[in-house]
Amino acid sequence: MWPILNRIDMGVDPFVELNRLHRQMSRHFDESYREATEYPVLNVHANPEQVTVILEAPGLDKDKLDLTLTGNTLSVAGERASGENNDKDVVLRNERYPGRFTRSVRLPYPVNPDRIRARYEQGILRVELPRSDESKPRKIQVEA
Amino acid sequence: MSTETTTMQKQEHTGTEGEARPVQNRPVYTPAVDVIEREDGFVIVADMPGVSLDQVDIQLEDDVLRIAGRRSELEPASGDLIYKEFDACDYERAFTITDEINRDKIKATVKNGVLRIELPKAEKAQPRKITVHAE
Repeated sequence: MWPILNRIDMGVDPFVELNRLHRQMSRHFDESYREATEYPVLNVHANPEQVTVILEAPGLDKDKLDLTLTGNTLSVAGERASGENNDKDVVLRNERYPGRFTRSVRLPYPVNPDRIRARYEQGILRVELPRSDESKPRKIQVEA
Repeated sequence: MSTETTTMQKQEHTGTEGEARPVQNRPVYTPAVDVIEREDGFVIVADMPGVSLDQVDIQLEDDVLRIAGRRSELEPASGDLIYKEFDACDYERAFTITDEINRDKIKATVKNGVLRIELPKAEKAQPRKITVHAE
């Protein structure tokens, strides 16, 4: 297992945090809910050549997704519109994650920033990060 | 508010006989939803990442509106899974609706993995302004 960094909180809104806590607690009482308490949830795949980060991020505007690479850390930030409600509307259920989010992942090795590819389809963001040439293992010839 | 909240209540899955089950042996999750009541109808918004419109199944039987999303397998990623927060899954959830809704005009769309269902209220359920004339 390579080490992965937990979510880094940036500009935490106390109301968003409270909301998150509330959701976490509600979910303990209903096992059919997904275990995940973060938005978006993510999986990381890796082989010696490339890391692939897949995030389940439904309901985003592709153009408002903000991906940054700082050192070996990939950050995905964005904002989910909290709805189109007006004052007359009555909210009967509100379980979907609202507002801003940031998630960060520490990658297992340095990647080549020029060759990163990201795609957003059906609410799933897929980021492919090829390993940088400098960090690839090199075979060393042993001379007699 | 109690009348509004009883109008659309989540029904627990009971796994009744004959209920359609996913073919694959995959987990079935309850999608997170927002339910909003407007003057002229209800809106249900459900997170179903990975599901496209043709993989959504919406059924209305008696008073139960059942939504299901069958998700296609993710394109496999090369390498080992070294960190995991989600699984391939299907989504299912059911709601009880009342006669207040015009059943012929229910509309559903899917965008970026979010299912949105609009359920307009029947004419009679919409508030009507009554003018009082003074004699």
